[in-house]
Amino acid sequence: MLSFPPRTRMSEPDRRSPAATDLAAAIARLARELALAEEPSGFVAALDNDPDVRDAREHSV
Amino acid sequence: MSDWTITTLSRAIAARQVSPVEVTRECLARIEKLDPSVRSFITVDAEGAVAAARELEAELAAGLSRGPLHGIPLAYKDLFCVRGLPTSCGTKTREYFASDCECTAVSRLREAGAVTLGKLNMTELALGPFGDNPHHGDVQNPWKRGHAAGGSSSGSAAAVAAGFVVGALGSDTGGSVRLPAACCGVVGLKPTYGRVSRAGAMPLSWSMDHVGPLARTVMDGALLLGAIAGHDRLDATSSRRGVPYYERVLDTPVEGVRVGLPENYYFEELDAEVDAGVRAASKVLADLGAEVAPMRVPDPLPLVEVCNVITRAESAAIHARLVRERPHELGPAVRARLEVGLHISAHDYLQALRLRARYTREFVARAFTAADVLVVPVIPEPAPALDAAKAGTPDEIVRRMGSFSRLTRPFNGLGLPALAMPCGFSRDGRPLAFQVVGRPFDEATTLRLGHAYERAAGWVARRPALD
Repeated sequence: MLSFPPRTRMSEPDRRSPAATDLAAAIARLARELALAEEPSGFVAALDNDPDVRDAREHSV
Repeated sequence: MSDWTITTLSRAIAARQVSPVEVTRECLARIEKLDPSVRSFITVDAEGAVAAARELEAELAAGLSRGPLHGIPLAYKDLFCVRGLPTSCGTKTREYFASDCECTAVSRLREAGAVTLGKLNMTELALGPFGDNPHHGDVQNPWKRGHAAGGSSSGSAAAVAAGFVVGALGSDTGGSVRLPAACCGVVGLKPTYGRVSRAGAMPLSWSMDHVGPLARTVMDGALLLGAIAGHDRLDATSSRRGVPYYERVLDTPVEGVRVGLPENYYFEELDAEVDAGVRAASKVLADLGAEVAPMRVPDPLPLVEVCNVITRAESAAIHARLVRERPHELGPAVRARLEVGLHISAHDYLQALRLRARYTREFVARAFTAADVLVVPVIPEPAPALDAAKAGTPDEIVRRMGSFSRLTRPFNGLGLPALAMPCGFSRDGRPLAFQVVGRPFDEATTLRLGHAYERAAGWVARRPALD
């Protein structure tokens, strides 16, 4: 059976600076209403899916 | 030399009024004479530049031209890998960053005929908006010594403003092309996320990094963007969208283009001269036929918090070895910013990435229903005195950094194209500037608006007095 030292954590949250704590609190507040389906790749999709930018004048590379 | 633009110099070279070698030698002489007081270069490659200019001159003599950048002298922020030259990234270590290949944007400019004069000074690790550097010297604002050149692409903007080069490349993670462009009175473009490959450029934050040009005029910026944009197999995030011939659309009239002037956030707590300058620029656009109207945009503050989490976490991951093993080599504010990132959890980082996706989708849908472009300030005040910018504890400096970049950072989070350009001067001679922000991948419209304004306003004729 595997065992881990209780205080070993990759992100070292037990020594968090006040700035990191503030950022974590902000994210916790903002993420409350995130839809389950939201994922990081939605960012690129948001840029690529804007239908109002047309490629009519564009040349390929 | 200080009066040339890429466009005028290109014509002169094509007409054999001046040769690439003459131009290169003149730039090098100007750098040698004047840069000791500006500190815009980290490495000057005089020998390599003259050799490249000779080859390009021979091509012209043989009737061969590579196009509008043939023989044009450029230089690159010292975080882009350039064949044969060290890449310090503004750190104490001469060769901090190495890449298997030359930076794609640099290679594309070289193939297009540009002559590399050297590598440009920058804020240490690109972490800071004022252009100070404890290892290579603080870049001085060519318009007002003792004042910030802006950062982190400080040398890129100062070298263009000082007439050492006619164009440069910078990188922009929270405003690092646009802030120095604004402080130094030149044009700087952060393209859409994915428009320009980042291969061969030191990463600071993969999700926020953009590579962009700085130049004297919007037309010059368009020429540089056209050369560096487009898919690159070495950067999986680079877009496969086609690249417009930007320079061909710049003279299209701007009549009927809808310009939104956000009432919330962007005009709050601004220096009065900056506020007046940006509003006057929007009036010029209205006089040119653009439909300028006030509007409200989704509150950028949550997005700024999300950007901070993403950038801090990614930059700490990238530079973990330096900050853990040799923290004494870093400036105190840069060290403080990196150390915060070591304490951000994977959970918070992933939530921030998810939030960014939502905010971007909402912003694009809401802001660009009412407008084709947005006009906002770049810097909340004209270039501050360097001593004041660097004063205080690391925490105070970090807060000051965040405040100075609060108008540019949201557009890194949103990935939208943003053009920074001059719109006048303060009473004591420091440049004022505004941003034209466009839809995703619509750099063409932002450049078109900027070009129309530039021709109507005429600020481009003014030069800093260095000689």
